[in-house]
Amino acid sequence: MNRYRTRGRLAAAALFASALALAAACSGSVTDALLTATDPDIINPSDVNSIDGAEGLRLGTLRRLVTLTGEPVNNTEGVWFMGGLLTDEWKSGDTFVQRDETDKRTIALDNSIVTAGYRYIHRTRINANLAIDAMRKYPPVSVPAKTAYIAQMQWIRGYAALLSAENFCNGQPFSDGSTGVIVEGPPVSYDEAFRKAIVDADSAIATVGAATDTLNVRQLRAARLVKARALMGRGGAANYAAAAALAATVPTNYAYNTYYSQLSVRNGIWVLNNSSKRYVVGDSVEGAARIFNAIPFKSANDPRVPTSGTGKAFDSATPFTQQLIYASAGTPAGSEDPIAVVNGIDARLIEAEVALFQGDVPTWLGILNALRTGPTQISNGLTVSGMTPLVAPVLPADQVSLQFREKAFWTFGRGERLGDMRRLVRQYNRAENTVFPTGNFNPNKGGTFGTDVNLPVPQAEQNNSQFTSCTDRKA
Amino acid sequence: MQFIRMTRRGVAVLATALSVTAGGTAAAQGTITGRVLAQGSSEPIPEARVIVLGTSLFTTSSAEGRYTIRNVPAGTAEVRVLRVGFAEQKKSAAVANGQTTTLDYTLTPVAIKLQEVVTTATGSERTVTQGSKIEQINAAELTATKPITSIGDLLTARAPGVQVMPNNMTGASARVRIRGASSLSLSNDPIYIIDGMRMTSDNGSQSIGIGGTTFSRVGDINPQDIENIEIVKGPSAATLYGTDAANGVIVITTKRGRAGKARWNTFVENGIVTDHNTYPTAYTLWGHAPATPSVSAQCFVSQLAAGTCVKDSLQSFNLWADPETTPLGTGQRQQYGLSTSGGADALTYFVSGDYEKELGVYTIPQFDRTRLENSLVDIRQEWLRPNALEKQNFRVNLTSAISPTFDLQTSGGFIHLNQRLPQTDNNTTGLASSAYGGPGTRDNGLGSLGFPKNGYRAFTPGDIFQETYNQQINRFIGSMNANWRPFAWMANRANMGIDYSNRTETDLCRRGNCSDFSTNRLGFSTDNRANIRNFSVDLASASSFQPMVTLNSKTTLGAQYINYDFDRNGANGTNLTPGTVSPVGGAVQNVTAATTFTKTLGLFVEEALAWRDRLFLTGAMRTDQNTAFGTNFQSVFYPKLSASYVISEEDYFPKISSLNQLRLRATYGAAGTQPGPNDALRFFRPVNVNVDKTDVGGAVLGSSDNIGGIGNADLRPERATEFEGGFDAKMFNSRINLELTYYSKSTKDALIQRILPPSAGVASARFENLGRVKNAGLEALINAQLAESNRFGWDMTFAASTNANKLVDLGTDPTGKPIPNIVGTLIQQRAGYPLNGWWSRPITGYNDANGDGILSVSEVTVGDTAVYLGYSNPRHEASLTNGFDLFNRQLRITALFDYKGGYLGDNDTQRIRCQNRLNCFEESDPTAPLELQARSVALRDNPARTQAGFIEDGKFIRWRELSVTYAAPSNLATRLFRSESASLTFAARNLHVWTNYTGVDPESSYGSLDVPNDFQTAPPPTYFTLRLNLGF
Repeated sequence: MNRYRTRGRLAAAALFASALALAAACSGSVTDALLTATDPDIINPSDVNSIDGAEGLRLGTLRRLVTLTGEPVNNTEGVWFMGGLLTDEWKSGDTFVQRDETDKRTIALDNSIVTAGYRYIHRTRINANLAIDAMRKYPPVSVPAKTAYIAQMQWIRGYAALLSAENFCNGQPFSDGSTGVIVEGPPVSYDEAFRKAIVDADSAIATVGAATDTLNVRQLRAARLVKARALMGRGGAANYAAAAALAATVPTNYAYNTYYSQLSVRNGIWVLNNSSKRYVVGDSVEGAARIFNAIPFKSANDPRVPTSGTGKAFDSATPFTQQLIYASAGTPAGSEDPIAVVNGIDARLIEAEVALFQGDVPTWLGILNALRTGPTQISNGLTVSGMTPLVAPVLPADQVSLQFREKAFWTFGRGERLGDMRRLVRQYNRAENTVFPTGNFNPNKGGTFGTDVNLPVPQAEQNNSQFTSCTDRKA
Repeated sequence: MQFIRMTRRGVAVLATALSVTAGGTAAAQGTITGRVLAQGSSEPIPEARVIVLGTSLFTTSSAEGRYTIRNVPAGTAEVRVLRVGFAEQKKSAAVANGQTTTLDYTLTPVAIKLQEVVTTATGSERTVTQGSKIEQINAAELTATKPITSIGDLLTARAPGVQVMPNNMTGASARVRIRGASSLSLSNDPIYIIDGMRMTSDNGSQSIGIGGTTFSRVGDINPQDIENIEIVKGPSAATLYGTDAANGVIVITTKRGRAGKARWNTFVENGIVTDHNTYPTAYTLWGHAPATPSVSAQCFVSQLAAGTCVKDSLQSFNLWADPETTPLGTGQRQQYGLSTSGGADALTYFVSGDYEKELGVYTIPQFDRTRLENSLVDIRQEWLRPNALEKQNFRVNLTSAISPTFDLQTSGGFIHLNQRLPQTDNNTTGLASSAYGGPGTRDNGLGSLGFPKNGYRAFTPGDIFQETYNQQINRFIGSMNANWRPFAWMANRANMGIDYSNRTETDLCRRGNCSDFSTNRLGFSTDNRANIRNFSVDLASASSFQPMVTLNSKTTLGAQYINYDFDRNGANGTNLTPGTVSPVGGAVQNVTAATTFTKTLGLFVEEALAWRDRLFLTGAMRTDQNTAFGTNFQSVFYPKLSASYVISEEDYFPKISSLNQLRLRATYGAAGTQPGPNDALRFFRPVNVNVDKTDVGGAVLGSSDNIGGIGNADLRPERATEFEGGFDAKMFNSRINLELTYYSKSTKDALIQRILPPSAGVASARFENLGRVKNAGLEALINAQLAESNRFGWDMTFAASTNANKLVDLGTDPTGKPIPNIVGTLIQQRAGYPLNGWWSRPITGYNDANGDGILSVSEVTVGDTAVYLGYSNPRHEASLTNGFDLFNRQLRITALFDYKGGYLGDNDTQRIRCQNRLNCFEESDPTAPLELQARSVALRDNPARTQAGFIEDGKFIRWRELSVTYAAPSNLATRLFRSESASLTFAARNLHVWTNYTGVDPESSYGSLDVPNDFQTAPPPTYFTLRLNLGF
């Protein structure tokens, strides 16, 4: 037994020594050295605590704006596109059920593209917040930029809220997860969302103040248009009048563009329509579909929405039609065409609508015809002039229809159509089935149109404990 | 400085300890030597493991069966000899100081050949001491006689509880799951250890997608190099492998030399790869509206039922079966290898080299070759054979016994691999998208380039295959294993190794080539280069002593360090200059980069007790620190308890003549799965944006995949705990071996990609430790030698397993509110149901009320809400291998049948054919069975648009392998080849499948996903090979 005891002692001593050696090897700074890992592909929060870092956040927000609007984003595009599908602007030539069901007005709550679109709105907001905070701590060196850049972030934040209000149902939350702790927001009505947009636009207008330099004025005009559009969305005579007053300060040739390039992002309208053929320009006379508001974008052969195209779309079944509004810049042509987020044409159309609303038919018609006479630049490669002047219809209802038809051609693809169609229902008392596509759906896909008139707040929002579902799905 | 101080202190203590023990070296010691022979033949038995019980001393017998063990403590020594194929034997010997004691063994052959030694985290151990079941696969034997082309083939249907979704394209990855899926959001892949070090096993190791199918770094490894594979199944056994081992550990040991004269082995293998699957025919139903008989249009069965269309004709065409249009050809396979091994006791070597080449089944169909030739296009080999691999492999393994107390093993393998995959699967410009999507006629007009499409939907293979994706691997796996036994009671081990891969991927579409989609024909070139480094160090020190005569104790302390480093830089050029093939030829050039660092430091201690050499108890603890843990979580502890009891050796155990041995075993243990390296961090990422026509960079919050990037300081690993219990029985003169195991595995702190509310404006999800997942099941293995004589032998192996999987709960958010169910179109994660279960609104009935043989919308009813339909992965598996030896064992025939059941497969290919391609049988042919019509109507015409009808019973029986080996008599081998041995093997793989699944094959899948995805995916091909093995 002594032999065993001796061995036991020896083993214990050796183990004790080994344990100490291992513990030493694995303690403190050695452990840190062994486990430290820095990923060079990410930007740590401390790295944005500088003037350059703040500028990086501002530019990041501009990318968020591109994603929010005209970026195809790897087949999860934003609400400009999905809102357009729900209306008569676009038709799905795709095999993705998410686009088909939106086109069909039967959107599922887990529609991943609608979900992405809702995220883009709020990511734009949050990144703008971060940029504003950073620029307040680390202001730009240039004097005009000190106000203009913050104002830019403010109106972009407002524009995100505007798109949320125009496209989504009642009961849309605005939360904040920028710190890693999710501060959940309660559901709000689209009207409250419009008010948020107005507050943000007002902030931008106040930030610019009396500045008259080009940089600041550019942001001021955008902010005024965001506010004007939000006021139109809220409706009512006072809001209309205020909107018209704001619009009147914006010249027709003004445009705040998002830009596209081969290195950053290609023009999403070109990608999804002209290139991949997943989207097809809408045409009310085609097939069995009937759109009572009658915007046959293809068949109208309107110079504001030039089209071409033969053969089939991506789904190999739907006849293909491509837009040629954005078909000039880049290689291939159209891939780099800028798209206006807001522009002077919007301003004129707001003025026209308000004039019509106020019963001033000559002014209304004059504004519309001035645009038609032109030259009016819609995009980089498309300037319209010399269109036949309109004659005012006799019936007020027809005048309203004409106003919205004109606007649909002028603003094609820029995320305004759904908001306008909802306003037709909400503010002009049109029946939903006289505004939105009804009847048989795309005959190549079967079924009939559903009843959706807006995009639902997606199911993923149910991870917000204050949200259950849309308050309602009314226009 | 703290480290230096502590290290100095540690070294001082260690030196003191060693000086204390130095006296031990002067203790009385002797030598045991002897010979190990086979009973009956008296042939020497090489490679027998000779162990002195209660010490760290062991050795292996030489080619002549001789062994010598020095420094054996004086006294009575118990010496055990183990060798696969023989019954183990234990003898006692009196060892005197300075004397040599001779101890010879004559081992009795046993019918069932089982490995008696397994590899554990603390070293090699006798199988009988382990409380958990570790499966063993004799790779050397399988590769020589079976149609094995990859590690996936080696693992498929070999071990109960180990489920392999095989690869279906040449070079593509297989998916391995052990005892079900435990993780909702992280990888469920096991980890791999090769020659004692961590092996890079990334599944989906590629940065350029082709549509779904991917490569795996496991696929690089040459099965010919492997001696055996051990599968450590769950956390109970894998505890000491630590964080990341919760999904099991696959331990690979490469071949080593044996002392003796140089032995040369060579083999030549040639074969073909064919596709015998039945692909769906495309249909187009033509008709007219009742009011317009002269206007012909495509219509559907449901329209016939509704009376809105009157049938005119039905067209059908199967381009897969038409010799002019099929993209399927005959692939080829060839492999050649040469190895030598030998050496003296002091140094043994194994050196091998292999060349392997395989061409998959895909090719450009005849009509497209003609078209390209007529267009004066030079058809490149990589277009003609878009799926291929070519591999060279070189290995040198050395074992040197530097002194009786110190030996050193070095292992080094170099792999050069070139492989390419075709554009296919879920890919707009891929083969399957066009080949499955065409109409019921070959005459379907011209494509956008002005050439006939010949039944293809949009693009034809001649253009599709012009986009070439290639992956080149240069990989070195090297390790050094040092074993130092300074005393009879102490063994120290140091393993150090590196697995380094240089991966170069190119995706090329020359200007004017490829499918006419988007800007493809302007040309593009992507060149991504990655370095993947896996560096590991493994240290352990074991001390044995005997507190009592009947009790042996072994205590092991160890440390492991794993440093995984992945970095990739990529370049992309688009709008290529004619003639250029590199990104620098692009008018638009872009760069990408990706980096992953993961480091784990673990410490463990294990105490193993052996009482009277029949009851074995083990307790262990491991602790890990990892770079991926959150700042509020520093380390994790994994405990383990294990018991193994050879109860049949007890006097009180009833003596049953038919029962040779009964062992009871049970284990409880824990292991983890680590989160991703950046999952705990809050960070921004760079993005490009064009501002006023100038490209600039900006910063946005969160990661590029929108998972995380907002921080989670509490992030910790998933923790899986497992109980495993069972028994092993050897019966009927060890002619039957029965193993039965029950396991229950629970994963808590499950890392779930918690969906974040979109209105928060951040990532789509982030990893949080939320849920609990449970897996439980039974595993059975029966090996039987049913007949054994010189003229005829029949052996059988039957393995079966079940798995019940359940998501216990999804956890709660910080306010205590339950995390909502994770709902996808077909897959939902709901508490109380299996992970990744199928859910959909069900087809509740169909009734051809008017008896017209076709279903209208009103004749099909669909449930209002999504219901659980079933498992998406097999929960029942069984495999049966029968082997027959004929003609004095010169001819051996084996056949392996493989069953998988208890799950539903998603026939998503047929779904899209009905929903979007408009060419499926059930929507076009009014004679289609009502059940099929119903699923089409429910998908296309019912407002629910449910896909439930395409979720089908996936069970199948596959004739997986057949091999016929003729071992030539030595005189014939000498006469024919001047060799000592020669054998010729004909082998076939995937010969036939029996199933009711209506898709092409129930195993059509990308291979790497947790949810099998039969969406335009390749089915298994069939291999026929002929192999000649020669030994010199």
